[in-house]
Amino acid sequence: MIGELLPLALGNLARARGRLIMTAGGVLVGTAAVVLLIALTFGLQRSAEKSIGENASLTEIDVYPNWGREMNENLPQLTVEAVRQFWQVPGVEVVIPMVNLQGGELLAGDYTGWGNIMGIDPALLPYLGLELTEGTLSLGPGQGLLGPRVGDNFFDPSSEEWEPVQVDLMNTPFEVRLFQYNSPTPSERKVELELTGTFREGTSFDYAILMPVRDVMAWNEWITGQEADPETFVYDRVVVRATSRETSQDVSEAIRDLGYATGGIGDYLNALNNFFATMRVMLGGVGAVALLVAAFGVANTMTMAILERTKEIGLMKAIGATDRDVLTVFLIEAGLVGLAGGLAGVGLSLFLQNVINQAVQNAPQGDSPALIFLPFDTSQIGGSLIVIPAELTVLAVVLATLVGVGAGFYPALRAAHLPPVTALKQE
Amino acid sequence: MSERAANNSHNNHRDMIIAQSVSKVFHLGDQVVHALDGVSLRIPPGQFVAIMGPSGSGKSTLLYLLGGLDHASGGEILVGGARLDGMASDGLARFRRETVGFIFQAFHLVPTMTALENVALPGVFAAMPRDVRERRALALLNALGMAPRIDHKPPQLSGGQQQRVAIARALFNNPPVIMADEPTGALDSRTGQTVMQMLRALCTRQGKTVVVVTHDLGVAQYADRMIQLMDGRIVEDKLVAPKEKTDAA
Ligand SMILES: Nc1ncnc2c1ncn2[C@@H]1O[C@H](COP(=O)(O)OP(=O)(O)O)[C@@H](O)[C@H]1O
Ligand SMILES: [Mg+2]
Repeated sequence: MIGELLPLALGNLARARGRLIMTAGGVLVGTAAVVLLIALTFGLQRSAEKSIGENASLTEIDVYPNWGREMNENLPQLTVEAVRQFWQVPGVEVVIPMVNLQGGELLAGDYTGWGNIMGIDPALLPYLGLELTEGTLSLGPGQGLLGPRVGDNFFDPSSEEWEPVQVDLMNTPFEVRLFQYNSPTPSERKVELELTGTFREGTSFDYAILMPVRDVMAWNEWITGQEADPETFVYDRVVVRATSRETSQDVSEAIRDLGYATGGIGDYLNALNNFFATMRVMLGGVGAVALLVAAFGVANTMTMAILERTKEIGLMKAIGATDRDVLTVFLIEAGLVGLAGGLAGVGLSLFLQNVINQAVQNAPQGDSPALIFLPFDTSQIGGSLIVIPAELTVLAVVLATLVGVGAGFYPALRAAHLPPVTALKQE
Repeated sequence: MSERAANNSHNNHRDMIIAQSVSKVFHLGDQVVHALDGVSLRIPPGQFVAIMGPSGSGKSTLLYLLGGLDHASGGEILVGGARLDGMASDGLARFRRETVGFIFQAFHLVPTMTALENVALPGVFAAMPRDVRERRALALLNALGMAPRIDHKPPQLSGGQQQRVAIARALFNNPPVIMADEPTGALDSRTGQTVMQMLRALCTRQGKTVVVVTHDLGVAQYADRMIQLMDGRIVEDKLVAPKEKTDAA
């Protein structure tokens, strides 16, 4: 039936071209507003994600004992048993437990510095998502991997002033000095550490030196003078990596349900995503206002068309059209106006996407003051301030068509219920 | 005497149109207009009836009620065995599609459609495929001598040609009843006669029941029977003498 009525509706549309183009133009503006404003949030979100770091760190979840809760003997700790539990959480790719060196000082040539020495199972090293700028990714006994910022924290112990010194640790003889604090006869010992590589900045290990966990535990035993007891032993840090960004939120939740606290870039990202979701709703709402105005235009145009064609409606009914036929004809007309406006609006949006992104790309860096309110580095925007996903274009066209049909519904219903004789008698 | 004849002559047939005590009241503000006031009539199949009367006597109102274009305020109407009073709008649409072909004084052609498309329009609402529709419309226009004009739009056609298109459209679904409201009212008398001859032929050759509203006595001569309305009531109902009829035709 619609197949038969469609050409009729198309023929009708061809009649009042000027008015229809104006009306579809309203829908065009509304659709373009919705698409561009939403696309802006996608563009900003994408650059925000880019500025946060590599994808690898987005699946990383830090697990801590839940210190925030009231002090409690039974507060779950990062025990060997806990690590075993984390391995069983669905969506977990790997659990990386780490042990901190209990006390020590870094010595590089004449300079002294502090840095966090962390022990890790060398087999799990690839799962940290570290990229090297120098050296090789391997940890043998007595070897360490260098965080890129460790070298910033050195000073000259012989100087009066505390003056930070930058040291190129890879090319300077390097040692660690261990202290025995608890012993009645305090003693210290220097151990050599061979640095095999430096990894890229931007992970949570920027100020850390990674070492084989066996070495760190052995040193800790010397420092404390106690052997590690597998029953009471607790790790200092546990990083859980989820299999994908999608599962990372579920994994976080499952671990919190076990009584631990979680953190990490993934959680920050979730907060950021919520921020953008809110922004998307708000800006989409602004665009929707333009679309609403367009809807009134469609309703107005359809009302006028129906007034003009009252006799014709009577005639259609006189020759056998049902109320439904008349309704369908006018709804198709209204829907086509919406569809045309929607398609044109998406076309305009895609065009403006290119124009705007070109302009942003060519603009001098740091010259976009309008963007400084955003909670991330806007220099990452590059050439994609506006990002229009394919789904958005489809959605916008469907929405515009529905707006047309919706706005045309009341006038079309009136036309459908017009008594044929009244319509025919109209002068 | 002739009135009785009109009613008796088809006693044995099942009547095509039956109206019983039909009334129609219009409310204009607080004013009440009794457009029809207790009209009863029976029209047998194949009869050509002219409804006559002065302007405002209720002719059009009666025709629209018989054609299912409007609801009666009271009384019963049966056309082709279907009870129209109280019928829902879908039923009426179907009735208009299958039982009645309408012809109007103002033609009521769709100005943006060609003659062919106008004639084929009822087929759209009958969900008839396009090629079937157009073949049928072409045959009808051809039979009415409009073959050379099928691609013309109404504004490019004379009044007589437009009314022929309208007649072809009324015939499209091959309805048993043709109803025409002042079909010659907008035509010069010679063209008007041609149109009436066509309607006459539909009755005589195809056995259609034809009801024509007119206030022109000359036009009424083509009918088998004349019904005179005055102030919403039938004041005269008579058969037209065969001699009179032949003269006019
Ligand atoms: N829609 C209407 N509203 C009010 N009054 C009407 C309406 N249609 C017809 N009438 C009145 O009903 C009476 C009969 O009208 P009509 O059937 O058109 O007469 P005719 O066709 O014989 O000239 C007239 O008095 C007319 O004014
Ligand atoms: Mg009239």
